[in-house]
Amino acid sequence: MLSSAQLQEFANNYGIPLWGLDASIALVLAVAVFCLCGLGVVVLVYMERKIAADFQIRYGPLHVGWHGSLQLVADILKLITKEDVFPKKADPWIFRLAPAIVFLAAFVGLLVMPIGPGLVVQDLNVGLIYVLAIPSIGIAGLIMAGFGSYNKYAMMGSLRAAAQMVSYEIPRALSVIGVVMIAGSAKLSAIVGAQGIWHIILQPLGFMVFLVSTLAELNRTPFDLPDTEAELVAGFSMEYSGMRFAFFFFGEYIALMAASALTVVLFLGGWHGPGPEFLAPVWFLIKTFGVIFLAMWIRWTLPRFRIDQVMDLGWKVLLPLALLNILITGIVMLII
Amino acid sequence: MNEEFNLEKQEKEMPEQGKIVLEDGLGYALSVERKDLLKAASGLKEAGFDLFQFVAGVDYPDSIKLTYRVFSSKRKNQIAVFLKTEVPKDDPTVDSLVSIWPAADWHERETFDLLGVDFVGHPNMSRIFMPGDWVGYPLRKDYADDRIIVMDDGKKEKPAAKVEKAEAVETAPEKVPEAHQEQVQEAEDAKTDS
Amino acid sequence: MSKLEEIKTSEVSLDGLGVDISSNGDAGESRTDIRSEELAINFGPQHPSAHGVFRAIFHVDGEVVTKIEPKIGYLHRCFEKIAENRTYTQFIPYTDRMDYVSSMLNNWAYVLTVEKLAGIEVPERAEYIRVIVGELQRIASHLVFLTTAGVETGAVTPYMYYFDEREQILNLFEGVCGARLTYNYMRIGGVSADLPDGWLEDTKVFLKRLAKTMDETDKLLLGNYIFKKRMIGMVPFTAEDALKWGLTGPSLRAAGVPYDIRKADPYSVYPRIDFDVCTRFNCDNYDRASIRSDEIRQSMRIIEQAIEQIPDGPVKAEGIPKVFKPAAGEAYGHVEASRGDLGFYIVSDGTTKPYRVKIQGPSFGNLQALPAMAEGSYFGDVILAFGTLDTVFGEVDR
Repeated sequence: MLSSAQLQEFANNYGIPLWGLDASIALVLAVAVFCLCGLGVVVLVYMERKIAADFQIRYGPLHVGWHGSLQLVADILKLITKEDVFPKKADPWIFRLAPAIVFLAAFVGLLVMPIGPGLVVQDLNVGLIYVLAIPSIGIAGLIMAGFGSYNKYAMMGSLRAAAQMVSYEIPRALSVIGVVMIAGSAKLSAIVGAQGIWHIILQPLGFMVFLVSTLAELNRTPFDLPDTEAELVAGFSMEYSGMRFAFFFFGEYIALMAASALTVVLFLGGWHGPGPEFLAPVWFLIKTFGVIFLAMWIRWTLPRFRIDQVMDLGWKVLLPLALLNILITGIVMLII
Repeated sequence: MNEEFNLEKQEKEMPEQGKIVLEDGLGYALSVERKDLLKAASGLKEAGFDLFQFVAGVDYPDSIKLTYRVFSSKRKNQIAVFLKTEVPKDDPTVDSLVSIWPAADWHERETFDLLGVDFVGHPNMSRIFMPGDWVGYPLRKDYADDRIIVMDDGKKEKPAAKVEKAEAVETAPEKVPEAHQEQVQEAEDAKTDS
Repeated sequence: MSKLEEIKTSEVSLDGLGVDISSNGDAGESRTDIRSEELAINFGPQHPSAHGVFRAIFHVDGEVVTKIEPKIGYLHRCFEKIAENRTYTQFIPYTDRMDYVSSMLNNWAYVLTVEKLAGIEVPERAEYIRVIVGELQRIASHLVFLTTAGVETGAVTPYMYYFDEREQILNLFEGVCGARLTYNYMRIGGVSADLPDGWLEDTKVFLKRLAKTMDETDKLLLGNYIFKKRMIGMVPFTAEDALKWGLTGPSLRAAGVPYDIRKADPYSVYPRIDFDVCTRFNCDNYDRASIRSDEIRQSMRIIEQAIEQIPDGPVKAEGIPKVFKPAAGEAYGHVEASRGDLGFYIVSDGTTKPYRVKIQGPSFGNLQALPAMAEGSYFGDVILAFGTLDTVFGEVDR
């Protein structure tokens, strides 16, 4: 991270060890990303409410702030002041830890997203593997939430979540291999750099598989089996209230943001766009919100599948398609 | 079986079950003794009456009359028959028809719950609406409960107990919150103004 | 080809929609090898899909429900006892509270039976008004059904489209009787008030609007690929079983039994009106849902004709006092309510109050078929089967 000679000189002058400076800069950036995340969640929640309302011929939030824009603030205040209900038979530590794990797992994925040339907290060499692997820890959080709540509905919800997410990890990971083959690197900034032509054009099949399995990973309709209201009431988050519930809620939106950003990085040309270079983050944001809008559009239009149909789709359709995609990419690259 | 059902035909088809008559306000009705109920019911089932609709018990001073309604989807003229029987008050038992029409299950439980008629041979003769430990059968005429409110029909003399209660309500001091009083005042002012 | 023609043409072969039930409907059979320990889940009475206060114990094995034990009675108010302590007229508002999603039809079934008992003739205009408001009520009720079917599959957007239309019906009802849910509009011998000026024109405008919305929402919900995949062939019921377990109404017709009281035991002015009895074949979740959509279209036809035919005249039979004494005797009257065969069996002893009122609620009969119908299906499908039976607990528990 420390490339600038001035910074090194600064460290030498004041007797700060290099790793300390490195760590403190990383911390500051992480906090900055965290704050941006908070802002992003506010925007996303407002956006989702307004979009859903528009789809459903109603107004959505209207009274708190300008056109209801402060509704989320009011909601958070409500959640903070709510009684912290703790089920009598729940496992205290597992129950408490679960929301934090879900939230963090969703958040850390954002740390390696290159939102512009050089604009990244930590540009890892194995960024892609990191970004696919770390958020999957969230599954553990969901299982902990279901197990720790001592509630049958929550347990069923978390088992569904685990089965679904584990199933869709595989096609999702396989679908991006084609991208890595073309870009020749698993570094996210290198993948964006390699996209003279967007990968969605070179890898349409991979994109489809990735998008569908991303929706399934995010537990959004039509794959929102873990918290189907009609069957499992609230699924794994059944016993949570107040701020604990809010962490699940925010985690969901941050995961949506991270997954959309990843889609943009891998397939939609990242920060590339017409205009001068300083517009790069703007283009990145526009594309990310485009993907988010797509996810919301799907959510508010479609019904949901049944659990066995979800499993069928993952194992019998998406997995073979992802493998086929690798095969085609390999053959084409051999020929060219 | 797809033919129309009428009174002439039923004597040919179901000679043993008794005579179906046309009753005013109801339609076809077949009255049988309690011991013949199962036989009559299976005869009706064989004659194509396949949809069990309800059983109604009516509590009379010394007996409970049961009325079943069964419907035939197979008959061309889609006809229903009321099957009637009577059980004495001191021994309110009758054969269950669940073996013939499974749909009778809940209906018979309901009649047991509210009228205390025991259906012999029912797989699960328990209360269905009321709690399991409830005492008494609400639809019996002698069932007593303070919460039952008898409305007067405006023609008869009011019962004595009712009058007392009504007076008690009237004499109770009417408490109107101050805010409301103001509103009332304002409304009256507005009236006088206009 | 319109929906109606489709039904007519496919009536020839009872094999129906070509759905292979055996392959995906029976979840239990193919997975016997991975059975594990059963889990008893308490469902309701405060569950979002409980449609009121339904409570059941579901025994689940993984995702497959192996046993259902329904428990009812949470909304029991014993209307039958209340009726014995009210005069004939005083009981009308109570019928509103039975099937609170289609109060008009409850009113109608009750006053129809009392009129039969007392031998009262109803003026023709009142009969037509009853047909119009009754069919509007059926549409409103089926719209509520379609919303819940959508919500239970996770499609929350069609909800608002259907409810927007229902809102128009409630506005129309507000015009005729001032109330939006519990109408108390029918009276013994007619209806409480004549239609307001221009009401029939408003209704015509509404019907045009509804036709458009129904076409749109059919594409959005009933024609949706995922919705079909969720519903077609799931939790089927044969006509024989449906009769055996006492289903009535749309659920029975979905099994292919054309039992509609408007045709089987005609009342009011239905004989003068041309309409079809909708039927389907498998009585699976999709049939039970889509038959409601077909019935809405038939109801629209009925209303259109009734508006054409409605004569002028009084809307209430003259000389009927508020308190009257029908001769001792008994009468049974029933109407095709939106959930099935809604009947009243009234016994009179010659006084001003009925001696006994037996209410035959279609939801009660339909609900008891649920265990026989849905055991061995997936949890999600059981919820849908319960939803598509369309029970209202005000009527089950009464």
